[in-house]
Amino acid sequence: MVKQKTFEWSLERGDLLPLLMMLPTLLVILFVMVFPLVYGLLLSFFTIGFGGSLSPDSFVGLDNYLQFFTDPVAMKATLNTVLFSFGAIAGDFVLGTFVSLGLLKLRRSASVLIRPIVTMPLLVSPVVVGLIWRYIYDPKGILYYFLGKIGLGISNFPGVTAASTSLLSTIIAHWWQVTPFVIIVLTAGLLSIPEEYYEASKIDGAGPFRTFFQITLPQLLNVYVVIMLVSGVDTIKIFDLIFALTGGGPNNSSISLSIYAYSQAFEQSNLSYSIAISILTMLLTFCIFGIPFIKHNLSKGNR
Amino acid sequence: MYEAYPLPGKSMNEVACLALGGVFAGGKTETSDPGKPNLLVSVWAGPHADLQKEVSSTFTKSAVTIDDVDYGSLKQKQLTSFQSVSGSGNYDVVWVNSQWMKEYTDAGYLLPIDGYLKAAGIDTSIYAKGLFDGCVFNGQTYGLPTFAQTMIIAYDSEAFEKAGLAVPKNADELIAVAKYFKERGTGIALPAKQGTAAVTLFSQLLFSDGGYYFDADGKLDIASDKAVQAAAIYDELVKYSVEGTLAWHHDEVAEAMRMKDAPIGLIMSGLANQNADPEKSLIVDTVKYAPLAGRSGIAAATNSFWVWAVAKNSANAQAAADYVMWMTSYDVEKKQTLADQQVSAINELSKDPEILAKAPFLPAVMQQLAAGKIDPPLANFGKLKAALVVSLSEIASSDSAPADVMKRLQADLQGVDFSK
Repeated sequence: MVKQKTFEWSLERGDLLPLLMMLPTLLVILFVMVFPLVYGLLLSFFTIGFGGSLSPDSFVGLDNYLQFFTDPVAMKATLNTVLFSFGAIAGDFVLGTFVSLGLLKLRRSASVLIRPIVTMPLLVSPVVVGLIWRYIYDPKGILYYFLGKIGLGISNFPGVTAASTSLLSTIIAHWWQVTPFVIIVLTAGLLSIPEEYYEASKIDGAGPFRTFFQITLPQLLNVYVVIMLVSGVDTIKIFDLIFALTGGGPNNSSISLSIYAYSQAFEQSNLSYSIAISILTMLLTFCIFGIPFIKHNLSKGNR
Repeated sequence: MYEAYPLPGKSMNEVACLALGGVFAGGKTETSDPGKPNLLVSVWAGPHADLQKEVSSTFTKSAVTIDDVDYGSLKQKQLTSFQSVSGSGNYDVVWVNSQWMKEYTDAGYLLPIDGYLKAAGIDTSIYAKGLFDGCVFNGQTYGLPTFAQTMIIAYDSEAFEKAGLAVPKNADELIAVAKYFKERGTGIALPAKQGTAAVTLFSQLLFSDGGYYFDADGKLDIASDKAVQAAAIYDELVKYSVEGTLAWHHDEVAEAMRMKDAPIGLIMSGLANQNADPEKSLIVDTVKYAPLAGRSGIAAATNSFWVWAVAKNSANAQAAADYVMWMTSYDVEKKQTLADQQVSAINELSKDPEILAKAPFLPAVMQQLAAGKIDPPLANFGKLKAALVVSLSEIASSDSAPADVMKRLQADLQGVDFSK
């Protein structure tokens, strides 16, 4: 009979040292991430504004969460947020892929000059991007100047002034800002694909489309997943760009969940409902982008 | 209640305060003197803020640091500061929008200053009663009024002379003038972006024709004939507005006037002084002003003003109260009015010939303020206002009939308690 060994903790041997070394990080995570989240969750079960008090009278249980699902503005904000997120990411992918492939085809001297220029919007704060695009969408701005050259005007594309085009207008502004990030990441991914693959496909007579779909795209799959996760989280919580550009209007046509949460907290003093909206936004992000990411990682692990 | 059950987690709020301070930091201007108490003052970073800094530098009793923050971030920064522990870098004095006063006093954020006023012998009857009353809650005074604003008509007299038009005296004439200019490629400039500026315009039209948000019994009455009429006038004005007004707030309207993009505009009086600045305006010599009247011809303001108040968590309450009383004193207000034509809450100043010569819009503003009403200090008024913001945006941006939109709004808000 084999005697099973049992592990015995020994302070002298320094068994607790790893735990002690991790302790500062754990405490930071606890106080900066876990505590505010739990505290926010707690507040969402009450009905209080800023300066309000937690008392049995203000406890409403799940009412704030139930209210969300019967609140037409919240539903509209959810739809807008999801549309914005998918529209923004789709555009980022398409534009980012085109531009990064194009930049790779350029001569080195030209790409060295052009690459920093196309990545410059990434350095601009989203609020400033909103202000820049407000002037671009102004009837006397640059957009309508060029549209005017081809016989079009504000009645053909009303931009931020009509409910039908306001969300699209904010998505276009987002593309302008975030595509450079996609270009940077995709360029790094493209450079990591072995040149031999392309040489082999050339010998086999594959055209540019087939080469892209059979070699480039599969090789960049992990890069796209990372971009989707980063951009997904970024777009689901979109606030500053839309706030500066349209304020959520006209007629709530571009209102996002974050703008609605902000409005509830700071304009209507409904802090608890605002937190409930924020927590549901977090869950929405997890469902749309977190679960597919986990599935992707698990399937990779199984392979 | 607030004292008995203080909100836990204040340290978190302090962290948030510091973080917001970094994110929304405006220009901080300090006049430090080691021998004096230090005051941190929160103001809106409007065109008046530079003047407030300049004036504050001459205050001898304290060293004043002015933190001017853009309007969109001002309230949240003040709210975060109120949660902080006294003496932890929180605001001592806050410049509060009159519409936030009820919320701030209910939450216990502001200090009653009656004792300080009495000790200093301040006569509060010098302030316009309608404005001073907006600083008093439950019989206690929580601040002193200043910087009154209302929406008035600004027009380019040259364009009017060329067109042979008379200054509109009521809403129908205003619509006719807007239509005339729209048919000739411009139109009227007004704030039609989804936001509170549109509500201010709607409320002025409503008040001018004798309407209000509630009936005599205090019940919501936003689908009344007068409310529907005000919404219809707003709809007509938007129809004949300059292209792009659906994306305009107050600032863009004033800019359109100054740049001669619109021959007539509905501007906030607080921005009118910039029309006289040759570096910013093309209408310095031609701009004139008129009251913004309803269909009845009566012009009544949505009385909007600012309040100098002392934060309850100030560590220097006496010094803060001294600063508030000094900033709203006759001489200091006159100095500010002469410098940038802001409208003081002191009645006598509006009759001062020196000031009248500098601020040609003052008669129109004072006429409207005299007949004006303030938004009701109700806990749930914010809900009505937020809903009005969206309804007016719908009216402005779609073919929806104003009567239908207002009826729907009335129905949507039936369950909201507007009794307290």
